[in-house]
Amino acid sequence: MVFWFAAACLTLLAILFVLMPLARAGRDAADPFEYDKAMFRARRREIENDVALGRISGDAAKAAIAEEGRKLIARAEQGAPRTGPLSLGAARMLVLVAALAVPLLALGGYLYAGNPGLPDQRLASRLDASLADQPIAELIRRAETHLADNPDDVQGWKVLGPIYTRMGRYQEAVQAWSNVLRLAPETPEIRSTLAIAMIAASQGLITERARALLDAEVADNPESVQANFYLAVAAGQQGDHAEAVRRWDRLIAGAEPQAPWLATARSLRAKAAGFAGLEADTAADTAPGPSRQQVEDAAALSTDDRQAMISGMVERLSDRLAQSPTDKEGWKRLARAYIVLGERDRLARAVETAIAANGDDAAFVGEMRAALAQLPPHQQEAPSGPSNDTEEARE
Amino acid sequence: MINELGHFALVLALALALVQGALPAIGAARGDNRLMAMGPSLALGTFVFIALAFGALTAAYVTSDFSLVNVWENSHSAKPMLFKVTGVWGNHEGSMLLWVLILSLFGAMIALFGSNIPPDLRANVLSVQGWIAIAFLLFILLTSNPFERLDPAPFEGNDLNPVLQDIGLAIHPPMLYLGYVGFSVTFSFAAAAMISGRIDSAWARWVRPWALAAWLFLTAGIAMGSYWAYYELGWGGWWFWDPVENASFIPWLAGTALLHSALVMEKREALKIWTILLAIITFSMSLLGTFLVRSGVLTSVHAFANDPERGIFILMILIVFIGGSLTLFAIRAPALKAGGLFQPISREGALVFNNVFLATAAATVLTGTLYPLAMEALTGAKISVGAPFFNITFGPLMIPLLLLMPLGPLLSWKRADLYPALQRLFWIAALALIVTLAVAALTTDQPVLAALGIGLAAWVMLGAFAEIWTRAGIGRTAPATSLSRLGGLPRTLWGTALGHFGIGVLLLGVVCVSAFERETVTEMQPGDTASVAGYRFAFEGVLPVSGPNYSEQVAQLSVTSPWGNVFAMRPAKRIYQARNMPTTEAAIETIGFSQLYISLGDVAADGKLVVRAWWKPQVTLIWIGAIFMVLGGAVSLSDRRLRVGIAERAKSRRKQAEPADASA
Repeated sequence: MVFWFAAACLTLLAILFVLMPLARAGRDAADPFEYDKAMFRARRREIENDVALGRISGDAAKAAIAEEGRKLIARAEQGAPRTGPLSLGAARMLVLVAALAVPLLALGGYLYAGNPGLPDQRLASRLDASLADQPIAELIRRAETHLADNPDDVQGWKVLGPIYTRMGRYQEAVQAWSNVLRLAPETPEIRSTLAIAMIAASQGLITERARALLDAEVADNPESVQANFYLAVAAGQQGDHAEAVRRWDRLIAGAEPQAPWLATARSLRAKAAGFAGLEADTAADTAPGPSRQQVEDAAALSTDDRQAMISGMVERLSDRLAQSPTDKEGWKRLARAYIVLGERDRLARAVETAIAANGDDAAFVGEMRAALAQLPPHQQEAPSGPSNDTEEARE
Repeated sequence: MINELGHFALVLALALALVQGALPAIGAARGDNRLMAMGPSLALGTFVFIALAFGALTAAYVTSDFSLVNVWENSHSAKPMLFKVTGVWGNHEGSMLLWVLILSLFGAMIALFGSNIPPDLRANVLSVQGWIAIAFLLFILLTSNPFERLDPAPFEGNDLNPVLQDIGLAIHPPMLYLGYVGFSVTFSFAAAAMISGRIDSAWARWVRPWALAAWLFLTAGIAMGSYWAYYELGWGGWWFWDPVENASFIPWLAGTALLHSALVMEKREALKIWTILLAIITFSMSLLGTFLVRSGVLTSVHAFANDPERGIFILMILIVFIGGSLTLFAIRAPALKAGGLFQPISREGALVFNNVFLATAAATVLTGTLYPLAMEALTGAKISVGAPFFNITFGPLMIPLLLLMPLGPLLSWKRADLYPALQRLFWIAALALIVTLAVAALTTDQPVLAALGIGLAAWVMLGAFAEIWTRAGIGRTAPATSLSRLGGLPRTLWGTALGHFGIGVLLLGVVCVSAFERETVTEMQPGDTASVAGYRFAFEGVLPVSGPNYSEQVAQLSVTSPWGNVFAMRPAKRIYQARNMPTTEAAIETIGFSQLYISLGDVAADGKLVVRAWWKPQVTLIWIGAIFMVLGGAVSLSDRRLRVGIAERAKSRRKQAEPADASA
């Protein structure tokens, strides 16, 4: 309502700009010839000034002034060869049409393009709104503002850290956990948690600093699962696959059988074993794996490229199986690959196709079902840092 | 509500511009005073409503209202207030709004200060301004609307490109646009003159202050842009012949030519056709520049072809305005009577010479800018026309111009004697020669070209004041007489002298920095020292610092000058958090007119830091020269002694303001 009132005021102002000249018109209708006379006088003054300065001689000045005079006479004789002005009625008509057209055009154009009902959403006013209505991002914002003023509030950083991670703002997660480490170095698993945030921030690459933090964690707390987990990954990334397999074995041996990360650890171990050329602990790994050349190539690649190479190999395997769906070993390898890649949907499709083609082999069907069960929907692939529910942010 | 009112005001401005484009022109055609008198009121109205829209957008930036797509894309709540405001024009939509704001500002200025212009001419000028405003308001509303909304508003914005978060950008685009768009006035004058059929020396006199104002803003804008690129991009170059720079430089060259040819038209009624054509070309080049920068065609012809909506629209504007005005020109030009005759050796001749070279230079730069685009469009090959092309073509074109620059103002109109003019320049030529020889003798290890360049600069700088020197009779009359004569000289004379002097200063800076620059690139670790041009700098370490919306690594350098005084320099590398984008903050120490310029490169493999240091002798003269040029323009513009006053009989009317006889 207020908006339409203000819009009406603006429209009125616009109409005034159209109508105003009508009220004044006629009063100052100067003879156009006055402008020429004024120009002549100005030129004459200027020429006289030039003479005084010695820029031109007196004779030249006389000639120049005479020239200006001739121009003036020519203009005067030319007169005003215009068509006659409009009748008063016609002129008024035009102006009135314009005065009407302005609001109509503006209203039409605005209704077409604008959002008259949409209020402003300024940052300050949005901050004042009640807490319950606000999306998580706004709560984070408030926490950030609070922490900017109280950078030593360790509890605040602990709350923000996991939220940042969940939102994919890894850089900020790193900052939050760094602050926790600075303020409360005794926090359990803090070093490995910070390292994990760093790994996420560097898109899975375990940097030198992250690795040092993981080592520090293990030195303090040799049983830390997440630290040992990522140290094993780190060994693999550095190309020390034998060491990676040793670490995975140790980790898997000490694990509780229901640990959610176990499946991931097993498949990573199998991969590491494949890379290391070691005999893997399952029969399936005797099947043709990547060639030595491929493995070396993969090790030299960046994380992204390696991912691309792996998915390329998986793609080829999947294509081959589409041609010969009775290749049971092939299906098992494809299922394992999908488990490693965490591709739940494609795994489900593959299992379906495999069972449809080999339904007579009960043992195989059981194995495939088990493979599918390894990757239930929304399962965490790796252990994460101390989990803090978003509810805590509302404290 | 403010956002929507801003949007509404913008649509209202379009409606008013439509009326402004129609009624005053009808009035002028019919000789109807009432309709002609609508021009100023409508021009003011259009300006008021565009200003309201601009104010609303600025308010949204200041209050971080991310319910506007444009604000969300280009702002961030943690940005310092200054950059929240400058962010308004740091993006496509906002900068187009600034463009029309300035266009309508010029319209309003004609309405307020143009009462010395005959009503029919003024009505036509304002109508043409109205048409330009219509075109660009439609462009904004249809393809680049800054008032597009987002609901619900995202919490945080995407931030402004970090390299644009700089004080240089706060002033540079408005200045540049004041220049670019200022030439719309001369264009409108040209179009109006052709519509009404009155093209004479009086026209040139009315148009020249506007051309001068546009020219001085454009000069300031380009100079500021150059300095911004120099210190912000961290490459230490002051001009890159980059297409975006060229887009502003071509109108400058054409506008400079226009300024000089309008002088001839005003004084001698010669070069009428050419002056009108230049007025059209100058604004066309401004439009072309806007098209190049705004359509995305520079990044890639193909990117443009894939998302052509905006580009096509500006192209249409370009075709309509350039094509329309040239058609009008083709119809009117043959009817123009040739003006005053003149001998080749005369003031007119010198100004024609100036125009030929400036126009050729503009065409050269235009070719170099468009050629890669044409190549890409035709063959798909991406080539770049770089500095070598421009140095080979543009440089030689400037040399004759600079050589004759001191001579021109000494020649008289119509026909001149070369001999007395040369005689007056004899001592200046001798001094310039001495400077050349001295430089050549002192810098034996340098190319002779450097000495010649410095000699040329001295010739231009000293020669700029030759006319003032002569007119005041310095050395020929008593000092007291000279002094009083000096005071009596028209300001336009001083304006010309300052402008030409500025060119010489700029040239001196360019030659010095091109010939004598020293560069050192080293990898350093704490404790290392290196040196450039006698300045030793010790690297003490790196200090992390955090700013409002960035964090930076500041290198601590302790510099010892050849004379033993020690000062600190702090180049830095910044990371802007919102876009996770790094920028280089060069450290610049000004010593006299020279600068020591240090910027940081990447961290080398062995953990050392790459430090690039330049010694840039007399580099600041480049921008100081531009300041002199702007100053010259301002002095000319302020010449109040020769204003055209409307008849004493009409004393009740407001007094007229008309700076005349401006020269650049």
